[in-house]
Amino acid sequence: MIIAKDLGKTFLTKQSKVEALKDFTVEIKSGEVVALLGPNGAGKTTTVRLLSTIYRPTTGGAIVGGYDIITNPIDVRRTIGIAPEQPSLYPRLTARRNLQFYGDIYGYDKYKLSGRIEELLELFDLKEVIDRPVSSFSKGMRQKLSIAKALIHNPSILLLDEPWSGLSPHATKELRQLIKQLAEGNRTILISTHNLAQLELIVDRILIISKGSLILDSSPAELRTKFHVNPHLKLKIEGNKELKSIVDDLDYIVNVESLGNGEYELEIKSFENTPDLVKSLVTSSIRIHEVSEINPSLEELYLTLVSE
Amino acid sequence: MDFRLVYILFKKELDEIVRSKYVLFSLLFMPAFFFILSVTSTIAPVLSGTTGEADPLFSSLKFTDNWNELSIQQKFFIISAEMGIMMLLFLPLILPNVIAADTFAGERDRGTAEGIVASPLTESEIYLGKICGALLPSLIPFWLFMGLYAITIDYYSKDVLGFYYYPNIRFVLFFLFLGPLFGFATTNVMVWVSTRTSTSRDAQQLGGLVIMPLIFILFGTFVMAIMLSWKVLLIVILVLIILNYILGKIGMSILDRENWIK
Ligand SMILES: Nc1ncnc2c1ncn2[C@@H]1O[C@H](COP(=O)(O)OP(=O)(O)OP(=O)(O)O)[C@@H](O)[C@H]1O
Ligand SMILES: [Mg+2]
Repeated sequence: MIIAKDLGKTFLTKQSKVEALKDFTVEIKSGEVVALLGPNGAGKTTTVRLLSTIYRPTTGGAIVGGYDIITNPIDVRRTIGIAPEQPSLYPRLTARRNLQFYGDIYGYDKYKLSGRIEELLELFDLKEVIDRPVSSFSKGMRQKLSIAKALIHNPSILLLDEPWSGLSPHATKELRQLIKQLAEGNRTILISTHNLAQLELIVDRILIISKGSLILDSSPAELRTKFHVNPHLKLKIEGNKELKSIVDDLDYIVNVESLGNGEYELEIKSFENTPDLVKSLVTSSIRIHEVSEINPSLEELYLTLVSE
Repeated sequence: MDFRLVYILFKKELDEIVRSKYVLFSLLFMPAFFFILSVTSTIAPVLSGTTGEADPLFSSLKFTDNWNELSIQQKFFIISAEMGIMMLLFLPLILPNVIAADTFAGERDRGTAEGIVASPLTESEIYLGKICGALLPSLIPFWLFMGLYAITIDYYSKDVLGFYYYPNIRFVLFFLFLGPLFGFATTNVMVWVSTRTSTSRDAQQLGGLVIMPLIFILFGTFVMAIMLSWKVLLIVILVLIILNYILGKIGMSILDRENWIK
């Protein structure tokens, strides 16, 4: 559980004063998976660092995993696992030695720890490179190892700061799958990112911050209804059959737009309705060339929100 | 202070050092260089017989009990040996520079500081672990080459003096106290410098600048002390212990999680 109240951080440099985070108030329940969304410089890293007691807040405070970040920082650090924006791994040491170092800090006994390391590297598909120095790792491998490092002591709270920065589409997809897996347990996860598309299907809740202020806090579904944004389907069918008459009596179809040449863009209430839609088309003997999900809408919504 | 955590960090530091060719090279090359320099500047002139005129200074010194009965060559041999040792005492002043810059500023450069700072280690545990991690690897080559030096001197001193010159009280004090205390002092200064610079290269350069005057001050008083007697050395050691205690206290209070990762 994470409770933040009026959490704020101001940096004083010689030339200027930067309010990196202002009055951040939020309550994240145990087991919730939350996206912390915002453009570059919004204050995401500052928030993560405040919650992990790396930074001392200028104003307000927070309780993380039951411990106060100001009066009890060491217990907070024992409770959380963190994968910082820049993977905190020793390039000259092997993957195993890196994890060992952190495992030792959390007081694992030797045998349990080596089991835990193997198990984690298995999960993250890094078992083959376990004894290779991290300097030989690709960016994706480092990112995965960094998350494995954060999980070494099986923390109940996981903080991930931009886990997919600089990853290839393939690595991104793989990592998303992994995070989804981690989210299934009863772990509280806070993921900072500026890329909503990666998270939409994983998270329970979205926090959007911009210029240090929390400007939105809601679930993905709420967000859609609130702003009337529904998922879209792209559909390509045989010839010039008229689609409108068939889908008209399907109540989950919100809007149909013809793009010509048998191509349509359908606004649909949820992707869960896709199988039923396909079934209806098949029953009406319509040959389907292509059905694909397009889901740019939340991302677009987010972009307009933060640019305001 | 949890010494188990200090030890874990210390072990990690050592693991990193043995895997850095640059650091390892510095740790071996510099001592070897100083060793050769001190050996050639002590024994070579004595053995080749270029001992020169008796300096008035010679008779005012008293390195052994039977100093006045020694020949000029013998006196020259002993004084050269003592000077050579002082050259080796530069090692603990220089070597921690390389490692401390690599561990403190280096961790920030490589982004690994954030991981430590977000772990349950406290500032003082981090500080102590890092100091030990920089100090011990620099003392090992120091001890090694001191030992080699003593053996080399002894190899010739049997002929020249008729007895093994080392180890003597002064050597033991250098070996066990002055060297490590010098090392501790520079390590502290380096850590302080490393927390203030943005890259490990800057840290090394600035560290060199800051340590230079320190070296001269220490050596100034130190050379005087040597000329006097080992009893005065004990006082120097005492002063160094107090100085180190203060430096350590200051260093610990200077290390700040927030500033370190910036
Ligand atoms: N140590 C610091 N000193 C001074 N200013 C800082 C410091 N850290 C962050 N800032 C400023 O605070 C603001 C928020 O920075 P932060 O790193 O939290 O953003 P972010 O959302 O993580 O951005 P990004 O997506 O680029 O990682 C920025 O304007 C940044 O310049
Ligand atoms: Mg950031």
